[in-house]
Amino acid sequence: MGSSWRVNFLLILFFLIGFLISARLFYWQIFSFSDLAALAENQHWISFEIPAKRGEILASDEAPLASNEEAFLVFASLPEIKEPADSIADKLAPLLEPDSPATMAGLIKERLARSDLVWVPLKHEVSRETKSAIENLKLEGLGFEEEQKRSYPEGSASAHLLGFVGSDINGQSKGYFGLEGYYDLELKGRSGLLRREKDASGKPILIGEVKKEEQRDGRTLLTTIDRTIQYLISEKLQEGLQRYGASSGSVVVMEPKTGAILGMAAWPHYEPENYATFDKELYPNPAVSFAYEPGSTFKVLVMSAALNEGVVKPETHCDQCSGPRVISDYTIKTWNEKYFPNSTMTEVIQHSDNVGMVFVGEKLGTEKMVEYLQKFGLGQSTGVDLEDETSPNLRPLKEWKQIDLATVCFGQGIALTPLQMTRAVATIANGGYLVTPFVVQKVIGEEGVSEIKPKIGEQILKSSTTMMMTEMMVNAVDKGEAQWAKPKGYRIAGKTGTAQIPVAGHYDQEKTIASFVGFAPADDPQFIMLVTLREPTSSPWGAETAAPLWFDIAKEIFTYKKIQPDS
Amino acid sequence: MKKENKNKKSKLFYLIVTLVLLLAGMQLVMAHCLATTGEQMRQLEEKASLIEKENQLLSEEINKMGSLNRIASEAGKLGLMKAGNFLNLTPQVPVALEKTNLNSGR
Repeated sequence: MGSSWRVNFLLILFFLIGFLISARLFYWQIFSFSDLAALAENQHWISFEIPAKRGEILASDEAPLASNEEAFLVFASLPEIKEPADSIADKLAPLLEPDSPATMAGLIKERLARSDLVWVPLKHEVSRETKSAIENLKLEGLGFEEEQKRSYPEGSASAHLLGFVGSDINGQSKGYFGLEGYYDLELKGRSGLLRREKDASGKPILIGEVKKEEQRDGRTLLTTIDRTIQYLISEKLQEGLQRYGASSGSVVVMEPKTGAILGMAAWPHYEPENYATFDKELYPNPAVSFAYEPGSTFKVLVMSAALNEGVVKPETHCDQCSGPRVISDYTIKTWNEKYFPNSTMTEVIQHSDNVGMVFVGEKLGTEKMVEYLQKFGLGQSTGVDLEDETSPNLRPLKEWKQIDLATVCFGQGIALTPLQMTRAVATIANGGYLVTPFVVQKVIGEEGVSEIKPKIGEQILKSSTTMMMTEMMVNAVDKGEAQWAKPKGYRIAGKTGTAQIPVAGHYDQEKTIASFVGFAPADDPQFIMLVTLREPTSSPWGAETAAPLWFDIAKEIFTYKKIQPDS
Repeated sequence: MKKENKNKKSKLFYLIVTLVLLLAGMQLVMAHCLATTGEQMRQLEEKASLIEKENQLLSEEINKMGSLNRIASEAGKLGLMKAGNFLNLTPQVPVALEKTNLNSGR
């Protein structure tokens, strides 16, 4: 009896112990499998993230416009901190944020006071010099982690064109605006991972297993930007804005035959490296995102359309140019209230005659006008490879009134971007073809080079039309208001423009946008350039502000490109 | 006969012992090699990353030195001036054309 009880007790005990062991094993194998497997992995595997380098952005001569620089993340390991937080903050803040040490000191104190963390980041993208200065303080508990920082060797000259690199919501680097934004996927690449078996002291085991997921560095962009032209237009634009007292401005230089952008600058600009310290309104590129009414520069497009349709010829006489025209209760006058009865179309362009252009517009008609505006690419994006491009809408045909047809003939009541204007006028310079502007000509990656070929669109103007229009524009430069500033000996085709700025439903009488668009040399154009100045105060007229600035830049380009005078 | 067998056995014994000692020695050498090569590899990797870093620093330096902003400011400091006047030389009309029929009688 006694022995049977002991046997039963032992059986139950063994069964219970067996059950507990099985349950524990079941728990380890099934429920805790992933945690334990990860723990085991951590004990004998060492992993390194191999960061991908962001691709560079190169000028056409392969000099970097955007590159990468070594930088450091400063962090604090809280359990190792020995000094009081206040003392550390006071020593670090002037080094990390010389401009606003008080704010930085507050941030450091706040982070060092965290009791729920053992590791806190203090500042990203710290330079090598600052790192050395911090190391000299010999503060315990501070460390550095290497990282990359975007650098722009040419400074702010190409800020709007390039954009900048910031962070996305996950803290990962992301390009915004310009080329950095448009080509972000190409530029950022993909990080790699190296996993290797380690011994107890953490050293890699030579015959151990190595798993490597290769990183793919970002691709490099070779642009069409001519570094010298870019520098030149940026400098000249700044000088021009000061000279003419304008509040802002932009310059676009393009190869008319291919659409390759040679330079694009706008002012005021920002420093892409310190973008966060600038007003966000400065980020978009005005050359592709700022819509303006072009004024008289637009006359060359309307005249081209009329010549192409054969409704006028250069020698056609205007029989309604003897005085102001009244259309739908509005009186259309010339800019200086001088009238030239019976003037030819060449003279209409030369005098920038609004009344003469209304005559041309009426000959063309609303339907054809809208058709040509669409053909010139208005109301649609140019397709340039820049992130911030916008396109103002073109009024639908059925909404056009008689006064709209009249005002559009001299570039009021219609809005476009400087790049749209440059592209449209390029059709006159290149024999009538609508090109797609582009900035990147090659994308260079580990797997090879992909070339981006110029996209030449349909021929929208006959070659004879472009020749006639070129001559009319050459005449406008040689005999127009801005002839005094023109470089001697060169045949330049161009047109000035002065547009009033619409404010709260009416045009401001004082504020204007002065512009000049032109190409040179007229017979074999190497570049087309548009200069726009907003609210110049020295004179409201394009002929006295934008045109001299255009000629000033053109002189430098002639020298740089070794373009000889025609006579 | 017996003595011969005994000699053979002792030779075999010595051979086995020698082999075991040799293999043990080799094992020791191999283990040592593996341990030190691991360390060497780490050092080489460190050196490679150091050279790569140096390379990057030099590239950064080249970028800074080659920047047009810097060149323009250095040129200004050296007192270099922008050329104002240019003389454009156009190709001259040739006074005599090269004879192309010199060898025509050949």
